[in-house]
Order: sequence, then C-alpha cells, then structure tokens
Amino acid sequence: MPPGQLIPSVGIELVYSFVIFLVCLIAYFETREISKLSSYKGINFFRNTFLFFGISYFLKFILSLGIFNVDVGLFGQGLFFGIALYAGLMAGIYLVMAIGYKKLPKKIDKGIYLVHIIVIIFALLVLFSNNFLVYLIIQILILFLGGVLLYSDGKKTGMLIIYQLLLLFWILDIIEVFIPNFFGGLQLIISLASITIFFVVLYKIIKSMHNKK
Amino acid sequence: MKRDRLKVIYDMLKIIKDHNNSIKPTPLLRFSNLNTKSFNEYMKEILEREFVKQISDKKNKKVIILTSKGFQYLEKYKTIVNFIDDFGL
Repeated sequence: MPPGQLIPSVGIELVYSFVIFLVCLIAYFETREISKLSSYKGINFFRNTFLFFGISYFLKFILSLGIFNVDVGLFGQGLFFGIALYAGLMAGIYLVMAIGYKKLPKKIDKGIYLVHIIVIIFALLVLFSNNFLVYLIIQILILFLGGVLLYSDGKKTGMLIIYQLLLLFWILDIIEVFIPNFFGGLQLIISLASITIFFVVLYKIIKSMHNKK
Repeated sequence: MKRDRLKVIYDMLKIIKDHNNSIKPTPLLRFSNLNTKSFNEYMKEILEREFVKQISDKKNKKVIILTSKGFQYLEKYKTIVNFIDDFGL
C-alpha cells in the first residue's frame, strides 16, 4: 500500500485508540470516590472494566504508533501481546462481573486473583500456540454470558443495549487487531461506533455522578 | 423490606449526625433498629473504614462521633445509590 494511503488509516487508528483510552481513564477516576466510600463490589468491578479497557486501548495506541517497526525483540513483542490479550479478556470478565455479580457465587471477589492467574496462563497459551481463534471464542462466550445475565434481570434494561454494544464492538476490535483490514472500509464506521458508545457511557457516568436528585 | 448494607451504614451515620455528632453506643443500637449481633458487625465495619471514631466525653463516657469521611459518606450516599441504579450494578 502506498504511504499516502497508509497514513490516514494509521492516523484514525491513533486518534481512535487514544480517545477511548482517555475516556476509560476519566471513567475510572471519576468513579474513584464513590468506589472508595461505598466499597460496593459492583462499582469496583465496573471501574476495573474501564481500567482494563483503558490498558487495552493504550496498547492499541502504542501498536498504532508503529513501535514494532523499531526492533523490540521477540521477548518485547511477546510481552506486549501477552499483556494485550490479558487486559482485553479481563475487561470483558469485569464487565460481566459488574452486571451480574449478585447472581455469581458470593465469594467471587475473593477468588478474583485466581481468575487473573487463569487469564494470564490462558493469554500465554494463546500467544505461544498462536491460536487466536480460541481467544475470540472465549470473548464471544463472555459476550453471551453478559447477555444472559442482563436479560435475566428486568431492572437493567436501561444499560442493556449499551453493555452489549460495548462488548460487541470490543470483539470486532479484537478481530481487526488479529486480522488487519478484516472489515476493510467498514473499520472507520466500527471505530466511530465504538467511540460513540464509550462517550455515551462516560456521559452517563458524569451525569450520574453530578446528579443532585 | 430488608435494608441493604449501604443503607444501614447511612442510617447509622445519620443517627450520629442528628445527635449533634455525639452518641453513646447503647442509644445508637436502639435507634439503628438492628439486633446486637448485626449492630456489632456494622459498628466494627464503620470503625475500621474510619467513618466514625470512639472518644471519651467530658464525663469520661464512651461516645461515637463522625469523622470527615463519615460526613463525606452521608453527602455522597444518594450519588452512590443513584449510580448503582443507573448502571444496574
């Protein structure tokens, strides 16, 4: 591809990943006070969702910068993609835990370290086996589980579509990272839709935090 | 209707605040509408989380007072509850 065509797409990718990274960071810090004061598990899991989404999009931003044109070595690349796989999966898991922790085993938060260890091992296995299809299937299962938990609770209709879209576009993003240009011209629309969803969530967070009703 | 943990803590802190920020443990237990076992558990929690502290008054009797963190909890309680509600958490 001629450089002239490459630059705009890289530029969009850079801006897109950096904007979502910033949105996640704001969402994480905006909810810090109520999380500390309440020690409410649902809020803590919700915040961690944005922490891990933030890490993932930051890594995507770094990837878009073309850091791998510079020689970082096999270990450097492995470490980078390992963290990316781990953070991506944890974001999905935390979102499902945030929306459905009341239906999950009561001591799930005490076993969260075990979940982290399992996900790290899984990320390493995916990395070394080079089998990203398994990773994608796990992410889709998380999306499905999130959907089941949401639909089984009538009270959550307000955020139902937003959570589902958040996970869906995240999966589409993963596909694009592993299979570049998979969506071709649709990638711009997917990126814009992703940014919109993250902004909607951030808007709702800020509105809820500053609502004096 | 059973009160959730956040509401029980809010009620306890509100009782202390409404008593000029100084109340003895026994009246606090009575006004809290909790059994002794639950009261002790919640008391332990709000002390550990530094929402309240126990001090001795002029007559050298133990009283419970709110800390700045306790006042902050009272102020943010509605925001916390609304947030949980808005996001279905």
